[in-house]
Amino acid sequence: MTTKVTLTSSDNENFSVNKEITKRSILIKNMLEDVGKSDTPIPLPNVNSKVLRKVIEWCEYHCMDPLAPTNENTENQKQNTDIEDWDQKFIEVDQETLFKIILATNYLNIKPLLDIGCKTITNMIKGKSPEEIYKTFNIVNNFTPKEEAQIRKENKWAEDQ
Amino acid sequence: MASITIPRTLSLTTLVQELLDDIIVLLDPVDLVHLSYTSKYFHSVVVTPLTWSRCLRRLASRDKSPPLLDTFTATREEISQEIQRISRRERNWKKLLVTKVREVSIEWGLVGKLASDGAALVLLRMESTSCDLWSLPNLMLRQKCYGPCWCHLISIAVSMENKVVLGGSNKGQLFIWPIVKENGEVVDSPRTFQGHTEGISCIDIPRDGTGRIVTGSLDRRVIVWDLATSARLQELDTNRQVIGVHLHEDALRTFHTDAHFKKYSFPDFQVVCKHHLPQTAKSRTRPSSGDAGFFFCASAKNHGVLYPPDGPSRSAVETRRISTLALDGSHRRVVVALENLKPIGEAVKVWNFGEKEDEFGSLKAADKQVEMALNCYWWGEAQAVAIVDARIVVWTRSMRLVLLEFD
Repeated sequence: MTTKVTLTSSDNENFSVNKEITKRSILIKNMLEDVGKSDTPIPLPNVNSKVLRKVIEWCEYHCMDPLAPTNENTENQKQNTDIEDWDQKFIEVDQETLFKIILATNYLNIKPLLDIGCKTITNMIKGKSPEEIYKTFNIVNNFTPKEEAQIRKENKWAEDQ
Repeated sequence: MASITIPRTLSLTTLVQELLDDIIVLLDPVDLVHLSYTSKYFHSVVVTPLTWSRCLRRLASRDKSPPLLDTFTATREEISQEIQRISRRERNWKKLLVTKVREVSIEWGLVGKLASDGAALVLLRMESTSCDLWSLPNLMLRQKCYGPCWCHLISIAVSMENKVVLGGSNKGQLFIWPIVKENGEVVDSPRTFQGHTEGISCIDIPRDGTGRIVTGSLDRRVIVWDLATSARLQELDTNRQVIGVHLHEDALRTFHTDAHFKKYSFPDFQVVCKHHLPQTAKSRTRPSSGDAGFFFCASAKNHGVLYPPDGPSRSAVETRRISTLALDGSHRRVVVALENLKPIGEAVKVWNFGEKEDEFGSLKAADKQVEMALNCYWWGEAQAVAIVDARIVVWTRSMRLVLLEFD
């Protein structure tokens, strides 16, 4: 019985990965179940090799975690934005890569890693002033000064520090 | 399977809406407002009734109390008002600004303990066979729970989630009183769990929906019970008298009379780490409390040590001995009362951990009236404290319950 699965990234790089590890991805897990025994590589046209390498690294580290937590648990996790030490180190990448990891994990359906990505972005917004937020994310402020004054007036309570 | 095309440049602005929602749902109200200032696009994403009602639900579930509004039928204005109230309260907590003080006199007795699960309050007089369940915010006596006359209670706990009040006796029995419904209807009859051979000094009810109870006793053992079946699930002999116990996920922490702290793995009880607090004499060790994975202990040397669920412990030092304490783990704050100090304003100190420095801060008054109350000598020393629904309850020597509000 084969225990390795080959994944092909968008830039045609092949990754030979332990089958159990790839099952972290619900997309690949379902594919494997549908196809059954097959040695043909699985193409992942939405994920490039750099991102795929990162994602596999995460899956390998977390291969012992319990699969599919209960609904109650995911509700609880939603409440805090704390990230475990290893994951925190893992996710310290440039913003472009971070967004790519988020999109890739959304596509591959790896919920825990997607949560980590989202929490990281959330932590980048938390406690920042609007000016810091648009600097961080390169957002172009397209309000006219008058409009901006208006919405700031509506939300005065948030500024009353 | 929907196919996703990756835009050439990736940023927060080009993120698909469903993923942006996952991020927005984790933000606090002030962060949401700040995000809405950044551009027309984010303003349109944030300023929707859905975002705000989800935000309110999240705040409510973090506070472990159902929202005061029905988030599905409330108007945008009502939701906004409620969020503003909660935000204001959090801000006042950070500044330690008390906005209102109320007090009630209670039946005479020696001041014992207060216990809270964040939503309800129980009060235990020393050498007493009964304890009182109080409802908030109106400060009304809701139910009296009587134990048998041949023993007295030395520890208490309450759980609105499981609808029970628990009391541990000096002889080792654990009493379970079902909370009577608002309309006075009695749901169940009281029960007694037998297991400990000496006094039960501490009780913990993990808020994880499993219905487990953990008790620690002077007979040096910790017992894990199942509330529904009354079964004794597990037992651990710690070799030291236990005065604090807390179970959170896969960790059991204990605190002992000789100021030792231990963390065990759960359910196999392997020692993960040990620590002991500075102390002057064995008898001076102070109690502990646990909440939301955090564990707080105080020792005789004015030390308060906080053990977070992960990472190193942190300590804060006070000028006097800590006589009593309360912990609100989900909001990261500890309230302590110092020994032999009369006005509440001097005796009660608050540590908002995770904020700047690790130290206790003093309460501040929002107006003259509150200032007078905080400086009032007539109420006597603060003898027990609890945090209930973002309010501090102080039990003073002159048999008053003083409620400090931050709204």
